[in-house]
Amino acid sequence: MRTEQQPIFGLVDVNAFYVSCERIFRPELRLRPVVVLSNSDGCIVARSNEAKALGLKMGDPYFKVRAFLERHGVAVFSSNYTLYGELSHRVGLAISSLVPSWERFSIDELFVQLDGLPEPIIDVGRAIQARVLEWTALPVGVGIGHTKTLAKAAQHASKVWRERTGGVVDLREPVAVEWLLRRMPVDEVWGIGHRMRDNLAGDGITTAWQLSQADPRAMGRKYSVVLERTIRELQGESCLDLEQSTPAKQSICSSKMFGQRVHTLQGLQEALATYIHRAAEKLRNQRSLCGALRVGIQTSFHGDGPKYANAASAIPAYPTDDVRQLTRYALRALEGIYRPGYAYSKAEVLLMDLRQRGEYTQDLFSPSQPARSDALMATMDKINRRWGHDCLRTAAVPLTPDWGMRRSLLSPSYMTSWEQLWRVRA
Amino acid sequence: MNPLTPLPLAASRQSLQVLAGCAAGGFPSPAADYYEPPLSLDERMNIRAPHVWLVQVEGDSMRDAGIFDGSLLVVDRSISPSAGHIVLAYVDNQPLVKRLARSPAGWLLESANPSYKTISPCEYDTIEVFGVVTWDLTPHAH
Repeated sequence: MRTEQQPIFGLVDVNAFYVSCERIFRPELRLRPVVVLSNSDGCIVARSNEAKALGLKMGDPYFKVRAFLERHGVAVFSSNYTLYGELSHRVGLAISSLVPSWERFSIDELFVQLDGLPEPIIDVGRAIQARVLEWTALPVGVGIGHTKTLAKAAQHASKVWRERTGGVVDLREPVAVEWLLRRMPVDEVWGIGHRMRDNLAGDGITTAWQLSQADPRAMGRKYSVVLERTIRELQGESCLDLEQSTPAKQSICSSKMFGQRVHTLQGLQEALATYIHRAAEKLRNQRSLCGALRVGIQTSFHGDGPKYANAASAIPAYPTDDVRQLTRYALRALEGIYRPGYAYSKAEVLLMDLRQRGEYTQDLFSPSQPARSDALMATMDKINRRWGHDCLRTAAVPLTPDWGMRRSLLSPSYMTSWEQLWRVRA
Repeated sequence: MNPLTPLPLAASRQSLQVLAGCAAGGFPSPAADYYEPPLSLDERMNIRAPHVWLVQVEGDSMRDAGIFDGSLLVVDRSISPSAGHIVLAYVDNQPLVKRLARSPAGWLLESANPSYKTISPCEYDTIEVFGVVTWDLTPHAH
């Protein structure tokens, strides 16, 4: 087994990402519990360890815990997706500078391909951790494994045993895999949700190890191909390449290295429109609406030739899954960051601040997506399911700006606005 | 046969490949060889690099180093700090811009303004250099 070429994946995950972002600019908050709220300040979407220790849960409605937060001196922030998007972009660039191939999985998680790099590969993981911290001031954990699912499990271990592992875990030895999976609850496995956990409990499966010992084909027949793939991945058989993942819950990313370099604005527009098309489809599949998006473009970091990378965010007027809206905002953001004269190697679209339809109550006066859009998107998906994913899609559309949103506890746009730059004392 | 009589071409099943795209004709511009991109302050100050940060200064303790209240600073996290650097540092978890100097007990934080005292290691518990200041930008006319 060990002699044949098995792929090696790394998962890089930023610790408590939103909270870590806020703390960069407010270092005094390192000593205090911090939470970040969803858009419209609806509920808690991120917690520092201190906030977890107070018993605060993801999804706690703000109005219910508000008094408790004040009593315990918890620092509360509205989610600042412009800021998180910029820092997420920088994390990607820092990783780009070390590994040739990587993929953003969500706003705070990236997969890297580590095959062919010199052993010990755990040192590559440590180098990534050190460089991301040095450049972006963000702490990350790295999990390494022969499949994406095992890399994710390794990253879980790096979190649970942070002191002993230093936040980097290489999970390629079969004994290490068994040791960890025996200690890992099955719902910590990538892609196993609460419902599947309950199903599996009925089969007497409660740990990741028990799941890995199940017969993938039988389980695939009983439940789903996705579960079959998960089991194979736990057994060390790689079923998911880079750029081939199930969608994350809180953000959706569509990105790709270009087959050949792209030099023109039009080329990038076409690429981004394609990625938006794909990402919006995923969005509607999981019945979510998107409250913020970010587009990024970059040249290769390696080789000669001028280098450039930039990204920009946009906040739609209302949370939407309408591909026309999303494309419009993405292309507008692209126009702001495109510079001629570069050979672009990669573009990406990140849909953030996802909410389930009806999950968070909007206040009465905030605009929401018109029913006509819903009907159109449903029809479009129906047609595309019937005739292929790209049968109906947007053409490039002219843009009219309508920005703006209310968030009362929003931190400044420290990194993206001249008026709101980070202010420091001298 | 009259050599000027046109002959019909024989039909062929051979398919021809057509190259998509267009080719530029005419005489190429001699200036193209000498094209240099316009000057870019972004590039000069490297502000697009993921390790470079922009901050705005409040206070005049670094006045004599040319850093005034309202100046913008370019801060690079990839440079290892050493004595003589002006740095942005978390001092007891407060961001502060000062010049680093070495003393046997630890970093000294010097100001560039006689009305501010040097901060010695016994006056703070923790210091963490966030980044080294590489440029300052001060507007002189609006």
